[in-house]
Amino acid sequence: MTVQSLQPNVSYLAQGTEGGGAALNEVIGLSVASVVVGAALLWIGYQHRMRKITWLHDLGEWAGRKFNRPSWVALPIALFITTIITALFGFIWDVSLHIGKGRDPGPLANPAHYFILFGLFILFVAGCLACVLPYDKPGPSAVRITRHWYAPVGGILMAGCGLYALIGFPLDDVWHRIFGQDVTLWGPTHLMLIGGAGFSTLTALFLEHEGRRAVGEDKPKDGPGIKFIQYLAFGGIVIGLSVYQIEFDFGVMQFRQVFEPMLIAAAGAFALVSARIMLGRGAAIVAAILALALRGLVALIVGPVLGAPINWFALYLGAAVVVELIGLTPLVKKPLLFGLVGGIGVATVGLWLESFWIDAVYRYPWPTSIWPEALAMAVPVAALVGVCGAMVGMVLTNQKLPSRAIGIGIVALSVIAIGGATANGLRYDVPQNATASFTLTPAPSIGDQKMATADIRINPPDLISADPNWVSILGWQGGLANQRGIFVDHLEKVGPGHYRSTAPMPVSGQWKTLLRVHDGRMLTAVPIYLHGDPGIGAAEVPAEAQMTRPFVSEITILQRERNPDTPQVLWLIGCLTVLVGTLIMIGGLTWGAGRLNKNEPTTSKAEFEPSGQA
Amino acid sequence: MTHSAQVVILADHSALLAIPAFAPAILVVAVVIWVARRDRRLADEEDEEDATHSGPSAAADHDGTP
Repeated sequence: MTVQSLQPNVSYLAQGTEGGGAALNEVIGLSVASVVVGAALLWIGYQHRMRKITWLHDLGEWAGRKFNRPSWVALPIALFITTIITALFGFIWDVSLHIGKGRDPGPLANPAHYFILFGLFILFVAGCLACVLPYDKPGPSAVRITRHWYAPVGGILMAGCGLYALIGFPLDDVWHRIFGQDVTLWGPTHLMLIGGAGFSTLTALFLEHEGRRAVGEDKPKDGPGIKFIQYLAFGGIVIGLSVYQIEFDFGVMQFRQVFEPMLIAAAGAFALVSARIMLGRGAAIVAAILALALRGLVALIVGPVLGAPINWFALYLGAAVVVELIGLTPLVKKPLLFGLVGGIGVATVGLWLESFWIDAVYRYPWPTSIWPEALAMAVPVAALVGVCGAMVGMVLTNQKLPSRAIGIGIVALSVIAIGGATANGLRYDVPQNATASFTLTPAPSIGDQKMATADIRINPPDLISADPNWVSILGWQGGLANQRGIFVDHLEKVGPGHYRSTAPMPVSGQWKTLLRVHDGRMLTAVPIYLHGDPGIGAAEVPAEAQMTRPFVSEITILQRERNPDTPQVLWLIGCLTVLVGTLIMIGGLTWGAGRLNKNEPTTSKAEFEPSGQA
Repeated sequence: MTHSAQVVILADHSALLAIPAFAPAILVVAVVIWVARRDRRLADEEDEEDATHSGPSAAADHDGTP
């Protein structure tokens, strides 16, 4: 099946590029280099631990003096900040390239992949560095590796998140071999890649906490630089947990819109509640501002500078204001309750404030009709996730967590709530026997692109309610040179079941242009123009002056590459594998937080014998 | 011939591309797990020796820490 589906792809590729063989050599060269790099890293680690080299120790100590933290915190965190921003840039650029151009045309053809791969690998290296650097036991929570080697919890978790994300790459290939090159962010293996990197932001805070505890209370007060890094860390968590929303940010979401408020509420509740508890008044707002500064900078580089499709991002300022206001009440003295109320506030008032921004700049604003289901999904999730954020805040401020059973219970409940809300969000209906009749009127061409406006009659005319999520025309993958490869037009309603374009749509070249309808549970589309794609054996769907076409499931158009013949059971096994991996990661982070909290804070510099309380 | 070679490239492209990143990571983790297991086994053996000989070479610190 794979060969069959790829054979035409190759002839297609051969027209465009000649360099397949050279690229293969390049990859082999890279792989050889990587084994050398891996061996070199192991060698350096071994030499350092055997105290045969001093430069790594000296470098760590130098960084430690600069940041007023132990070497095993300062150096890895510096590396982490650099690498996670690199990976973020690569990720956003990669998504924008796929939206503007479609699937990757061949090996190493997508420059954004280098940033992601490099970023995730260095993320793993940063975690390992935190584990390798300390000669003495790094704080009371450290984990015994050998009798003379203890590693900080944050370092182990950081390396674990990096490894989890990296394993996503080979699994991603297996996935695409079985299921075809589905172009969606929410493929299970893609979720591993972005989830591992997203949650790693939390491990950096754990590591920083261990370092702060190790230097003790007697050390000089943290300067503005350290404070900035701490605020930045929470901004990082805001961004890290927002990675699941990226399709919505580009306006090419392939899932029901009701996910968007839930994801924003969950990320906001967790990050901003924990920021407020750890860093005090104003922290939630500063974290939100740093997050939007970073996302804004990346969006600026990817969009206007590199010419890829424009992406927006949730502001989280409304959520931050809500958390700050609740933080002014006595509730803040009871962190768990603060998290619960904060989460509910974020999922209600916070989302309402966010909706003004979404409606102002996003390609797909929120209709009034979204709110009942959006609140039903967002409030329970954000309330529970807010409590989880509060528990992280408690760990980071040395407050004793509730009992183990309660703590784990809250995390488990949050996972169940997210799972339930997700299961509901993934349910959608495709109308049976509904059609759309198009009358296309040619419009002036843009370059060699044919353009057209449409007059559309939906049959039955009452298919779409008065306040649908969207009735729009989407064109994408049209090539970066053609309006960045993306086109969105919200149709004007003329009468019952009667709509028309407000701007000419592209109906030639590499575009995939379709009519999208999302109305509550209904998520469906009608193809208008789909370019011929010999790579996947798909014929062109031409745009005709007069045509009547049935409504179909969106993914049959948006993910034409998807292989429809795969048995359902394989899909289930794939999803379950990734689910287990994700649960292990969440379990690991929960274990780490519990372990950090279990050991009482120390007031002196950690100089523990390797024996004792591992 | 060239065609079949190209087929392989496309089919494997993301796995091949990923090797530089995930292979060293797996290598490092495997080595660390091996080191940790060996240390635990050695510790157990030394403990047994101590129990039989009750000699002075306890399994205490001898990592040359200054």
